[in-house]
Amino acid sequence: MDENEEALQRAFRIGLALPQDVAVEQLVYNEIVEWDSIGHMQLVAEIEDAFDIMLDTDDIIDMSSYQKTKQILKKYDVDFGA
Amino acid sequence: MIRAWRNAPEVASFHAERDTISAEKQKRWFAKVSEASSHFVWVICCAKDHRPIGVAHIKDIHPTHRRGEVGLYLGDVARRGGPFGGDAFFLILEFAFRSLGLHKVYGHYLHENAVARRLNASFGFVEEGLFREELFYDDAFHDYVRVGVLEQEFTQSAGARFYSRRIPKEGE
Repeated sequence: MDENEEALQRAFRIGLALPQDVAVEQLVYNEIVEWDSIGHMQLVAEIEDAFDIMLDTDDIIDMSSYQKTKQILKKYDVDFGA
Repeated sequence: MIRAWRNAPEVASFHAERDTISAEKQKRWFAKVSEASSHFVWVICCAKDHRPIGVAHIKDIHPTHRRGEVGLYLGDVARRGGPFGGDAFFLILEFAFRSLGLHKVYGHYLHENAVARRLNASFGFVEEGLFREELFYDDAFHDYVRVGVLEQEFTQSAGARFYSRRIPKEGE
């Protein structure tokens, strides 16, 4: 797996306090109890630490799924393999 | 306004003390907290529209042991589920640790209050005790949880990392 993809998945598991065996690729905001506004705050903190970036407020609000998060991170020069 | 919030079932149901608060009782409470140096109370207002949305406090501040008890609620039910609880909690904890110089902050919540558990955990609070069947309401006994956070645990928490990047420090 791509290094950045691995780091993002780790950030999702830590930020949302998910077990190792949960597949994070299809996660959507508010579709699991762990990803509410509290989980979102924790998730942003973990992603920012993982990639040494600071997300804009609009991007934090737009982070509505794992896949959308990947798209947003490309704006911060975080690339993911094809 | 505060008494109306506090007496509303959707707020009272999260508190250990559920008796209806009379105007007289509120006056006594206000006189007491106004004079106490060990007690701070704030009305939480939305920064965008300046509307009051909730109440927060730090009480029983002990100058020797440098600890105090924190609590907050959003009386404006429509504002729940968003960022306001986290925003306010961070500012209160910053005040407790940075301005008051506390070493430890603690709090309590009903065991079934999952939102309180998760919000507290996101700021580094750990469970310090479970008061089994401490409270009786709705025809049943309920557990009551005590949690606490040390300054270093707060600083390292996801909540503090998130907000400290976004809220300017004094003098910045």
